[in-house]
Amino acid sequence: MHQGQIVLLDTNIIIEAFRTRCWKAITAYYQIETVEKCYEEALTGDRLRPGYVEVDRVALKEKLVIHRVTSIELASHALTCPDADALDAGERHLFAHAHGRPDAWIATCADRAAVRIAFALGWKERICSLEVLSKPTGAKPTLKRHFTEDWLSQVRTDFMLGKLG
Amino acid sequence: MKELISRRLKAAREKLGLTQAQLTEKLGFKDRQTLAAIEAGQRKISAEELLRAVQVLGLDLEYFTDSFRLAGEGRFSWRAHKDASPNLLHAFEEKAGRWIATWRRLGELQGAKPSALQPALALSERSSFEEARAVAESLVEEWKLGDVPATMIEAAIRKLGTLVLYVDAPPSISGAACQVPGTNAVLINRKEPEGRRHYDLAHELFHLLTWEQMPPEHAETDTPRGTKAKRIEQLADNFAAALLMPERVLLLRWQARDGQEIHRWLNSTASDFLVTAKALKWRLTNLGWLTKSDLSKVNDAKLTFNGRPKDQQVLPGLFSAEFVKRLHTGLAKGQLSVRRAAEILDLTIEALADLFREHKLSVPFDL
Repeated sequence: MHQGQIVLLDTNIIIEAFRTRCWKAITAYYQIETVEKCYEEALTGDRLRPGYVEVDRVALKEKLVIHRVTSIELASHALTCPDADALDAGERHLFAHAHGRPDAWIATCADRAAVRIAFALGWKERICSLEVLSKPTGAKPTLKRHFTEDWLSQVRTDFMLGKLG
Repeated sequence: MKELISRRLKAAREKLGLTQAQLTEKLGFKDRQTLAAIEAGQRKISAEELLRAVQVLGLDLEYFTDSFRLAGEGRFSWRAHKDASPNLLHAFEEKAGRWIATWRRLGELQGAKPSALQPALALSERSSFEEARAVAESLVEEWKLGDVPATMIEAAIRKLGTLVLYVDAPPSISGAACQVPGTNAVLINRKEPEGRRHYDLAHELFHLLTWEQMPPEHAETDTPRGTKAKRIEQLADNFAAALLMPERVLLLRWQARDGQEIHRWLNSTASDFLVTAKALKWRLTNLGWLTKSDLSKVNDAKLTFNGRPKDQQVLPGLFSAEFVKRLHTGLAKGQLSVRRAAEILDLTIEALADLFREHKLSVPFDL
């Protein structure tokens, strides 16, 4: 993946990038974009819960391009992707936006349903893990399993074998 | 998706009392046949037409596209305190509808086949209380509920294909019976005392088994309004009491009372039957074993038992083992996303992980 590549991130990836402190490195290397819903979700959560990750609003917004998703994009996506209701609002909005963005890679690797639906939409070549994303940036985050290439490749195999859905 | 939208568009139109011709005009279709074809699933709706329907019918997009939500379907009967406001019930019904719809949707994806049969009791509003009690006594035998039916009643309800969910509801809501095409459900406020929970299970079972003949009120309180509603509730109460305290077993206990002080006997016997001492008192009265004079000597304030002593009562796990297991499979197979599951259950992702641990299941994600 080359420097300056456009990459669309979902909420899970944003939070993990902050938790593992690689956010600065990936936003310096790529053109990172998301949608309003994922931006909102990344900033919400129960601060009192163990494991809560504080996402700094200023640092998040600094180099992030945030897209507003229109009603027509959402309606079109719901009609072309009947399984879209298996996703949460942020994931659904990101996918609706990604439909019209063949120029962008999508990092939404941490969830089986999201990966399954992305594959079903024919986006197999556009999905990448946070591990792969962070490699050329020089950052060496210690990632949770769902953010690794190994996990993504396992889900890819499960999808090919028809074990998902 | 086409079928879901068709069905929901028709349901929304009918709820507003619009004819196809009237909605056709509002949607700007050139003729009624276009709408008829969409509603019959013979023609796809375009994104622009769908948004127009959203606007005209005053609904959100998800009403038409979200299969993890009940829309235009499902009948609830809430058992609530009279102080529970319609807004509170409505908001909680929205949530509960999502849980039930999720159970149904994941069941479809996982190949669970709901029974085509709908069991029903041969009772009507004209049935006597004695008949309601006799039917309950028969079920105790038929379902082999044993000497303490409260321990078996949940399993018996589940065998009917009914989903039982223990939920964290506002304190003014005890529970609900819910009829949804393909899925019946009983919701129980898990923070209620044990005796009350068992009584609610038996009471809601009555409603599910008599819904067509005696549709219950949307919200029923301990003091129902209207003669008809009152009659149905009294029948349900008689049924529930007989189901939980069968005469055959109760008689042996009553005969062995041997002069024991009445309050002490009611409390300890209620504890053994896992019911409330007050429910036991009324059961004895209805059986004619407590006379009016006996009744006047009973002080309700001394009937403190609500199932077993508090320190022996166990809080049921949130939702139910079968519900959480189906959800677990759904996440493992990518049938819904983790964030979506958390959103539907109104839990944080961490609390969702705790839910799986509580039901002794692995956490199917590492986020």
